[in-house]
Amino acid sequence: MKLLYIIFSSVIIFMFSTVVKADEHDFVIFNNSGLLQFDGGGSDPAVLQRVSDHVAKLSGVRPMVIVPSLQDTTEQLNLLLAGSNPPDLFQADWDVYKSTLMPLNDLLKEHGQALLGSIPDTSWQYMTDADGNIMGVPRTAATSPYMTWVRQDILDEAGLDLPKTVEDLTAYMAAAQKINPDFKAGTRAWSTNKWEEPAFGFAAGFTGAMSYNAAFIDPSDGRAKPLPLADGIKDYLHFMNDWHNKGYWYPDNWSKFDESEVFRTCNIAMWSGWYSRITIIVPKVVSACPGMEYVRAPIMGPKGWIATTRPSGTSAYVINKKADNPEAIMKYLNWIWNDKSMEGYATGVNGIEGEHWSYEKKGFPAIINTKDKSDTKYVGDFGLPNFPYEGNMQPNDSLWATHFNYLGSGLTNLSDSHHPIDLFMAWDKGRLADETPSLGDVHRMIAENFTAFYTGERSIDEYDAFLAELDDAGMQDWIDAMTRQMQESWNN
Amino acid sequence: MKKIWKYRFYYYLALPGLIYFVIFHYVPMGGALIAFKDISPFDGLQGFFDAPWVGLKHFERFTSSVYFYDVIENTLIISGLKILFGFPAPIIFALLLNEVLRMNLKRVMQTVSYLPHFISWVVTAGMVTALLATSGGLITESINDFTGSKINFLGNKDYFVGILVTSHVWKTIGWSSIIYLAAMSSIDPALYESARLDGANRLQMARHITIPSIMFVIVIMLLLEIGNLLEAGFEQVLLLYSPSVYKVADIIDTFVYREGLLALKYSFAAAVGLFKAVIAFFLLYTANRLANRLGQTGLW
Repeated sequence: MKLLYIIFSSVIIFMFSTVVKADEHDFVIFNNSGLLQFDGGGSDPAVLQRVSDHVAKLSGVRPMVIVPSLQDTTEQLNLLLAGSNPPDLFQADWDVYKSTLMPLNDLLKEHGQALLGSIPDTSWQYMTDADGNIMGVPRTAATSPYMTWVRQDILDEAGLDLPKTVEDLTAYMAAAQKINPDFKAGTRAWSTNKWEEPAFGFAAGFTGAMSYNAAFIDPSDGRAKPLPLADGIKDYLHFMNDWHNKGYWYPDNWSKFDESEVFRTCNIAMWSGWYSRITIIVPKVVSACPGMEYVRAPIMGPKGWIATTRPSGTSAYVINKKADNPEAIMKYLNWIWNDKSMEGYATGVNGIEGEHWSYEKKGFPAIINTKDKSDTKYVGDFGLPNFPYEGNMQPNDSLWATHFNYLGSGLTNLSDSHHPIDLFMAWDKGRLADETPSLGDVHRMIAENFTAFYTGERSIDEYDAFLAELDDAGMQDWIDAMTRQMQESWNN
Repeated sequence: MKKIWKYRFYYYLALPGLIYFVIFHYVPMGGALIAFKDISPFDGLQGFFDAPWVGLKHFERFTSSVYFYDVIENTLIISGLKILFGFPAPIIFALLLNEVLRMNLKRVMQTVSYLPHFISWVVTAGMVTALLATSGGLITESINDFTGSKINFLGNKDYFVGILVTSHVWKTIGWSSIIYLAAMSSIDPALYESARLDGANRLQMARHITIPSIMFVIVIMLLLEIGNLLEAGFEQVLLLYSPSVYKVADIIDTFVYREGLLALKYSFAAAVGLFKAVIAFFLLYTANRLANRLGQTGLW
């Protein structure tokens, strides 16, 4: 018994006395940029170490990267930030995380000159708070990611021109289903458990208004109101329900589905959802669907373009105010998004030049030859995508060429989409939530009932009753909060 | 004290586990105070002390939500159904397995039945989604071949709860049967011999010997299940639900996830957690008293 005790105690003491040597690094990045969402396996540790050494040699700083392990990176980020070792650099809506962030004005001035040159001035205005503090580096710019995509092969077989109106689109779907009854129109209402994606794709064409927050200013009272109150909203819902009754919508649009597998069925005749399903997923599955080719189709509704531009918003790369080495972070960002060279960005995303990638054409934009990540065993841990900067690196790779070409051209083409009234406004979403305690209930009610209206589970005749339910849930508080912020924004 | 000193090495062996529970389960109970404060998660430990007291504000926020009764109802229905179907299933499975005479076959069946327990809910949800996909899903296409209609199971309120319960039972039946099999292995074989001599068949032996002998285990496990009545399976629901089935699928945990964790309202999330814990305690206390009164062995 004594011997057993001695052995057991020794094991416990050994475990507690084992010192794990910490990696030497200057700062920690939580890479929730979205770049790593398709790479579940992670980089090979030995390869990652070599890339880390290479990045340190080129940039002069050594970051350590935390790769998201949870499906919901927001949850993981929040847990990390509340912990004892929060990350120093991460992507977030700066207005929501403002209390934990460091203003960047001085850092940009001292260490971020190349960075300032590479990001458009208009994007910086979304990053500035009411006191003139720049709270983050813009993650994106205003884009048009919810366009309608139809299939050229179906158009050719049906003898149709590219649809231009909602009526043309409906005729296209009818013709597609004559060719193959399994052809469907895809969108996704479930992706973030929000209601915005189908609405961003279609609502503006029937209402002349769309936003996740204030969609229009009511001329009768001057208040900023959301989409459910817009004139023409019932026409939008009737359109969606009509397509459901005709069997045009893919049934799983309103629940969960695997996007890659759905496109692999070759039955998606029309897509109205996040653009990267077309530019990233389709090239990967097109070999299973010979001849399948999607084309962008700007569509006009009774009140204008059906797709709505997505504001750049407050999404940013932000620095934790507890960061020990913010200068190193800024130097790294300055290197990654340099306005003279793509070397930093290409290295972060692809690995070591000469070993994992090489230049096909240097310059701005650059064309690079990449290797498959399963061969390089490096998935891009140090890469931080930034739109539109990332469009300057075009892989000489058929699987990614479509995506990067689209980043440079289609995504920033705002001429054929509705511009929301808050296109150039940075909402303080944290304040909206504080001033509207039941905001979550309101959004859930919209998501649940819009889906019910689309599928006919709830009759559109009950729409006024739905509005009364929204009022009971606190919609008027939301309207007041949005109106206050919009008025402050105009005054500034 | 003399006995403690005499058997001190056993206590030393139990000490690490005890320390673990004290540090990671009892000390954190003090954190329940944030349910009564307005805490910012980024202020660290200092924020815990400096945050203002707000009393029952977060509890009022929860109970005043238009979806309060919905989420409570859904939680009770889903976990109630999981107990109704998922509690007897491993008992029946263990009884059936106990009757298998070929030891090799018994071991193989036991091992195979455990495997779903080790599959994470993320993978299981992926499997369920793939099987029930309207286009290309094995189950959906099979039903379509027989009936000519494709059902969107995951988007249909009538089927969604059934999917949750079925996948839960599939995942837990093997692992949960272990304790019952262990209890059955301790039954004196002489009882079965006597019963056989008296002319009892297998069903009668199971009914009059096996089940009464493991009844104390059944009652303990049932008490623990009742204590978890408000745990309807957060991960499973979160991975499978969508706005089209919110009405039947949104449970307390998914509500708190959206309103609390994602919106950084940790105090609100803590308040709802405390609410659940208090309700669960009363349920457990009541069930335990009932068990004691009925002459069964309770938890205390």
